[in-house]
Amino acid sequence: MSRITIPIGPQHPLLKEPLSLVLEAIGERIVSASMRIGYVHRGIELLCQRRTYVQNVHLFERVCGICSQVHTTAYCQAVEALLGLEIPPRAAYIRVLMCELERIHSHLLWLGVLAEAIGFTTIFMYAWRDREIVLDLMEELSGGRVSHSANIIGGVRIGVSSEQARLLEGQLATFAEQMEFFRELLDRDRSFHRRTQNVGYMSLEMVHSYGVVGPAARSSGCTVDVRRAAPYAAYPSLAFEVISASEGDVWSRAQVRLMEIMQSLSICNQVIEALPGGPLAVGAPRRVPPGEVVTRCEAPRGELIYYVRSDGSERPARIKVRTPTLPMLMVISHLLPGLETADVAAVMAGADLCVACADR
Amino acid sequence: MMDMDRISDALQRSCEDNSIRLREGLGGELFADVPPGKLVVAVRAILQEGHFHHLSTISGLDSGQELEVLYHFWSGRGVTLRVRCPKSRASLPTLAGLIPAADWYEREVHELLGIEFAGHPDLSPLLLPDDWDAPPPLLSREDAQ
Amino acid sequence: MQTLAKLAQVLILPGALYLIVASLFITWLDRKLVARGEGRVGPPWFQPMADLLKLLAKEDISPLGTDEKISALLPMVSMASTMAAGLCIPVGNSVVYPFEGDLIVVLFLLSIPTLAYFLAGWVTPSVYGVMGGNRSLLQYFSYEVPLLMSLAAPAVYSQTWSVTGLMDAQQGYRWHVFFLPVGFALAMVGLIGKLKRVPFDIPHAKSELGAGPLTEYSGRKLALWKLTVSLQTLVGINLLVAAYLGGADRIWAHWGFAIYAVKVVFLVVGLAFVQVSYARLRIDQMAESGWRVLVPLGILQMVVTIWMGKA
Repeated sequence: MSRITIPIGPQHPLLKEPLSLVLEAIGERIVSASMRIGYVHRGIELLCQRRTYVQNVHLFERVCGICSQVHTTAYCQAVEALLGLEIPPRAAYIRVLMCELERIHSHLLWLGVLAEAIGFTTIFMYAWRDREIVLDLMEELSGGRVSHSANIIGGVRIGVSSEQARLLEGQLATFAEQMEFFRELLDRDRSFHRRTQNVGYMSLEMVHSYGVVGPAARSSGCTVDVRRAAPYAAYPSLAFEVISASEGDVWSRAQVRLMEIMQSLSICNQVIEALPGGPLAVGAPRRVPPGEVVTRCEAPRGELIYYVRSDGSERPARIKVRTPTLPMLMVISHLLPGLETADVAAVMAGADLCVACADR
Repeated sequence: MMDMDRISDALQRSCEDNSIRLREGLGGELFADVPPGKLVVAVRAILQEGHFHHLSTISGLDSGQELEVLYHFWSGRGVTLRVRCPKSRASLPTLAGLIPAADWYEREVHELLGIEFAGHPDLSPLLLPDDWDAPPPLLSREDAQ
Repeated sequence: MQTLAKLAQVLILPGALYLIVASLFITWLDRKLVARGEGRVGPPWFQPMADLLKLLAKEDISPLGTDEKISALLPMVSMASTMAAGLCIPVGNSVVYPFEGDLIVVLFLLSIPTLAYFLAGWVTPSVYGVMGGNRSLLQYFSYEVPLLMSLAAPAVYSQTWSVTGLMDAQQGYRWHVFFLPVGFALAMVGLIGKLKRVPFDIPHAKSELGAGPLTEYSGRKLALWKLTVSLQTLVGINLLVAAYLGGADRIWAHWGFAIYAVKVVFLVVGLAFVQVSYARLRIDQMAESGWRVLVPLGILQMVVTIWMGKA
């Protein structure tokens, strides 16, 4: 049979964001894959050098449309470290609450995208329907569904009133029931198993050599979680498990994420229960003393790293962002050869790509 | 800070001429200034040190007089290797053979700052358009003109 | 006068006009049921009609390198053959053109759209079209054999190769589905394969091939293709109702159409239920299940049927 070239992207129904994947196939079998990103490169790293530190909070929120909260958390932590500020405990708890809500909705979004890629529209619709519960909660707390503007340098902008706390508790309980339903559904459904088990196997060596992070790495046997390995905000005082699996296929990535949602729910409930009083933020000067700092946070997709260099002015000298999707993108072209063309959808969707994040 | 001591020892041992200078930065991050010639040796030392360190990313920046490239490693605690190179001779050895993850990170530094990575398999644009003909965007303005 | 009446039958009821209207209705019903199953609201009743009219009014674009004549001919041929098949199958108590052996003709006519679909992929320069065409052909070989076997079983059982004859043989509630349940199940699976619905929507798997062979179709031609799919659904269901569910039971002569309609709706519900409950299979999994499960079951059903006929 002759070789055919299958272009996937920059525009393709499989991709929610533009990237270009070119597959070479013989019949239905992939023999090679190459990738090009940069279609949503916005030059944020250059742009931030022309904005003040305060303006940059809002700029970095817009690196990503899904994990916006964790970006500002990482950025604010970096600037606070340079300033030598300690944020009030209440702010640390609220940051964690928003981050975990974000993780829940990001994981559900992923489940929906995966289900749609393997042609299971029903799970897609159910997942996105239940994701609305979390988005509504985030809107109730911050006023925004996607960009929350919750973090400011020195603390947070939003508080959680006792009514909101009660609402959260109630809604999260409803949500937990829905998640049990999903767990059972995915446990039992054979057609989902057939499309995800033993598909897109990623070994622990690949995880290590490409520096894959987050749930994708944890489903291949890696047990690293920034929240546990280098706790930030209020994570040191919260109890949670680091979920990991060893199968390394799309199915175990789904399992790890579903379990992580349950852990995040538990963290949210702990935060609501233990939420300390006090101020929401401390004052922060506009000028940042010279210095440099590296901060890491656990974004929904894994380790997010910010490097901030200050030259003592109001504007940063250099900020470097590395999002967890980038190593995953590198590894994908090595996962695809040898697969059926139909599995490309499962692997690509199962990789939980956030292309805008990777392009910046 | 047990790990930190071990990693500093490993780095110091990798270069016997004491050319690596170590400093603990904010948040317990270990910053190590490494001369370009010693980069590969230092990276080997980090990779061979018991605890697994993965390469988080490589950042490049233009500090005015020279270019700095920072290699951020992490294993619970961060280790950042800093390599400085003059703008006139902006070239470093590639790590792509040693750490596959370095491939794209070096491509990015290459296109944003114009640093050459000797021995890199493919330095084609990653983020910028194929037909980008302006100078590398993260170089400071005076140099670009 | 007789010619005029016959012409009215062909063109209006139970012919072309009825088939189109009814197929649009069951398309809506199907979409609505699937939407409710997925927790969505679903379209209003006129949506399939609106879609069709909108597409008919749209500009027809075909990429360079397309064989214009063939690509225009293919949807017309598929629609015509599907409709012709529909004329041999009873709708309620009436049927336009029954004859002995028309079951074979119906099955033949119903396989033409699949082949046209395959060619539709090949005449466009799109790689998605070519791959979708290949897949549809491979799928055709996997579901068509069990489908033929599942429809041959009642024919052998009742010793007639006419669809109307099959319906007549089941009068008095001796529906084939009671005697040949495996055959009915196979026929349903085969029909889902023919209609390329979940879990057999492999040739036009959206997340892999866009719209498969129809990727480069637009405007009127696409409208005809969409209508063909609707017609295929209706004709396939009509065939199953007549061959397995007793068609319109003649005991309730005046209610013939209503009884038939209830059975059609029942099958649409079944199709929608399957659509909601499964993920798409891979082409290798589909071929495997076709040849390893469905074909042996079909053979088993045939053997049992012949044995039942002997006894």
